[in-house]
Amino acid sequence: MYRSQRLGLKYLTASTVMFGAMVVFGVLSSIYYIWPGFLLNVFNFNSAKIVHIDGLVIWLLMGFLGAVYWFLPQELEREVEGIALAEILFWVFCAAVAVVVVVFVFVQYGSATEASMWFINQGRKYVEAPRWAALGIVAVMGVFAYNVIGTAFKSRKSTGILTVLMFDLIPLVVLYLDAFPEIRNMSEDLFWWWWLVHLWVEATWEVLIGCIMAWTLIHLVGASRRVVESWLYVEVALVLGTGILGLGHHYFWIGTPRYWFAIGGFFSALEPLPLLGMVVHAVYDAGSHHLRAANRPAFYWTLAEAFGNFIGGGVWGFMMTLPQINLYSHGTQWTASHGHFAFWGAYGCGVIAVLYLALEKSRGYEGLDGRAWKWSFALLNIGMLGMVGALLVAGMDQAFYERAIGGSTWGAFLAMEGRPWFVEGMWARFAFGLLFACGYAMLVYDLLATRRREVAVSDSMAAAGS
Amino acid sequence: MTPAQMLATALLLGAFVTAAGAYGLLYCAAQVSDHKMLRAGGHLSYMGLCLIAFALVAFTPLHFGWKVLVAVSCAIYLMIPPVTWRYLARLHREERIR
Repeated sequence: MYRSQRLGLKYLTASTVMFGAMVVFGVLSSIYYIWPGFLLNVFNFNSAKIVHIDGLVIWLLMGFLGAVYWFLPQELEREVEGIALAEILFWVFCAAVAVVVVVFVFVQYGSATEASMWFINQGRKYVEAPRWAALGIVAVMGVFAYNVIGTAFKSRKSTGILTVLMFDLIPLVVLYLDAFPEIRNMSEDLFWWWWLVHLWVEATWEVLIGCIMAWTLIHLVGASRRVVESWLYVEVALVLGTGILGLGHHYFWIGTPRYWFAIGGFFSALEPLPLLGMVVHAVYDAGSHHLRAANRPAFYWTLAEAFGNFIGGGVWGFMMTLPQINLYSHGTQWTASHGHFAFWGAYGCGVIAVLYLALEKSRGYEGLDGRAWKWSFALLNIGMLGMVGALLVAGMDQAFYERAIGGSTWGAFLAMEGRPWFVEGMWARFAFGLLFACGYAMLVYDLLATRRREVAVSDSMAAAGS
Repeated sequence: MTPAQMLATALLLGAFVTAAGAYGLLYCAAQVSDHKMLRAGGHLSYMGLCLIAFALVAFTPLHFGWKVLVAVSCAIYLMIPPVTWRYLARLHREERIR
């Protein structure tokens, strides 16, 4: 195994740990909606939510880095350039994340000074990490870009997937710099902040996961490289074609000119089209392999990725993306429902698929297929479906009564908190969140049990041999 | 747009893309297994998609431009599964010949 692949496994392990932190703080955040006085004056809701959503970004980012460090040396048949630096930065990254979580949990907030921004919280959603840690993320992403591009140049060889990945790394790193400016005008600030959030999530991350899934298909079902690459080009063109200006759907109510209604609505409406193409591709591959693959967990998580992306991103997104609907749904639990489903479908399932694929290559097929992965697959997906269903009902109730009838007043907001559908939605979200947490526990159990099964299989084979 | 119309329109928009997904899924499943029921299911899903598009155009207070977009999307959704399928099949066929 290459050093880079060992680093990839470390990143995937760290990603799984962060996934757990995200789940714990997600369940914790959901409790505040049921008992608003929960942990009063001890741990505020905002901090729980920050760790939840920043944990989401970090577990997925670590998963992507792990996947690329895993596949890259196989792709170029050589060790990754600058791997020693990448190994050091892995530990720096983990230590920084741990320190930031400790600060978010124990310090939580500070006064409105420059020092708070540097050492406690930058104050911008999804990129709240204090400035020193944000600089660390830039360093990690810079070294990651150097690892990929440097290795390709050193080996004097490139593939279609790698070329797409290298082009994608430029906006991936550059857009993160958008986390730093201190813009005092809120509209202007949000305008540029969405470049970071939207163009990471609905453009550069889509391309990155596209490259990762292309490698996954090659290794998982032996898909032809030429076929996978041709399909990747089409998908990337369509995703970027619709996703970049789909940015406009975040510009509806932040003080931008009216033409963003037309641009955002139009391109957002086109966004489900490439996702349907991905569903067709998934069914084609699943059909041509008769729903069988040696690595069943990775295969089923890959299928879940295609369908989850379509339903979470496409169906849930299209419901609320046209400006006339978005006027009422914007910022309600409806949005949270879409966010949960889309992130899970588009990225979460893909990272778990890679996790199982890396396990197979590092430990062999034998230990993989047990009962636990099926339980974790079912519990995680049912838990997620339950959560997004509950949030959707609560969010629609909010859009109807608080926004459309109540006119978004403070009184309407307070009245909303006591409405039965909203309250029951919050309870259901909490219950399904617990189910999701059980699925996570089962996933971790399965990943650890795989190791024990592998040892048992090796022992029995050795005994048979002797 | 009244509150009730807002909810009904949103649900129809969600159902519109769901029907498109069902059509794509069943169309491809029918291609894989050559099963009549699946093929019929695909046709029914597309008919459902057209009906939802009609409802969106005729009965909702969406602005004219969005109604045109829904109608055009309905036609595009019809083409995506067969065109994508043929493209994938051609790629795989060429790969086998190589």
